[in-house]
Amino acid sequence: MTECYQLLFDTAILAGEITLESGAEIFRVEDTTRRILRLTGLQTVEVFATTTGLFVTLADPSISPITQVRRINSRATNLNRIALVNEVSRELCDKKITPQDAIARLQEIRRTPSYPLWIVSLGLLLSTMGFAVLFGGGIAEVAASGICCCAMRGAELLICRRISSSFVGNAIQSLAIAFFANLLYAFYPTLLVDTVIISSIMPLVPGVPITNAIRDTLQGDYTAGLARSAEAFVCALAIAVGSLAGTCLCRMAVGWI
Amino acid sequence: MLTELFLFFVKLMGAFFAGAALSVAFQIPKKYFVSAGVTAAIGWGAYLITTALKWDMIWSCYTATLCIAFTAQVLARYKRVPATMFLIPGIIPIVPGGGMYRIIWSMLYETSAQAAEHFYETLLMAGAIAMGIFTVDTFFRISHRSGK
Repeated sequence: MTECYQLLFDTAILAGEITLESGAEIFRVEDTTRRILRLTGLQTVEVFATTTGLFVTLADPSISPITQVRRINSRATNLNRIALVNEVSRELCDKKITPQDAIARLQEIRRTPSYPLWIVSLGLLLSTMGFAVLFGGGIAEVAASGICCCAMRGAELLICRRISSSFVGNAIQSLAIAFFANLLYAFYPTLLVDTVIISSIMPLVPGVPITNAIRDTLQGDYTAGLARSAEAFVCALAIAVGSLAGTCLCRMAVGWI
Repeated sequence: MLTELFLFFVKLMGAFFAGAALSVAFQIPKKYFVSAGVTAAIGWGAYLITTALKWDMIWSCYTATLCIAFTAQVLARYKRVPATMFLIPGIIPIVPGGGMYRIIWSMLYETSAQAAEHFYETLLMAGAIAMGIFTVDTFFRISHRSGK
């Protein structure tokens, strides 16, 4: 019987780990993990998650308590994995699949590849062009945003991959955007440079941390909420610093020529 | 009038493509791209209409977020996936990226009083988005509980 608890426990902690790594809200992580653990029918089920770690305990008078801690080092938004884990946990709780199947499927989810780099780049390119249209730009602005997006991706792939700091990474990407936007403006003075810069920085803007910070804080997960707010603020600051530096650099360069 | 209507639809298309294409960056499965784009387009449509009606920026933002969050929740229930799947790509166009840029711009070329004003406005817009998400979340939680 103990093996059965152990298996459900492993399933639960794996589900929690994957959702946390994929950037889910804390209440979803805790809820998913708790639901799976409740299937054991044991007395004490405790789950505590923060943005950077997961603590799970399972205890009952009949067994010796099990506790595990997981440190979450890397986080990247992957909504697909969150949805898949959600599906597995729902099916497990409805007794449609066995814990063995569930753990196998969770390990499978962990191995599913994300979109290849060129598709992500293409998506970002299309979305910046979409943003240029949405903010009222014409054909010139759409084209310029496309060029700025290519510059941003270039900076990301050439420089930011080698730097682990997301602050520096965001700053360099927005620097590239502002620099190229102003450069294009110098050659083509009727370009709406504001629209171009705003639509190109949109993919960098911290939409995910802001949304999650709000939902975490209002759920009462203050630790995670504060951590995400800080993430959003730092990201915004990096974009601001980067675009400021890019604009100044370009003005200097153009003046010098 | 006709030109304005045409431009409105062009902008909606822009929002649709922006939302759908950005879904790739969030690793959303292909089958949900259209829904993500529709959520973004509905939100931006609400924002454009309320702005055209000369509503205050904060109220436009709040109303647009309400529409986005509502659409996301309905779609999520219909397709049985977490609401975040549609909420995040939908909310991105509303997020005050422009406000952040204007803060910097006014720091460079205008007075610091104007920069402070832009900062305040951006903060209020973020607050309006927060309130919008919160309102819909709460509404759905209450209706979910009473439905059981």
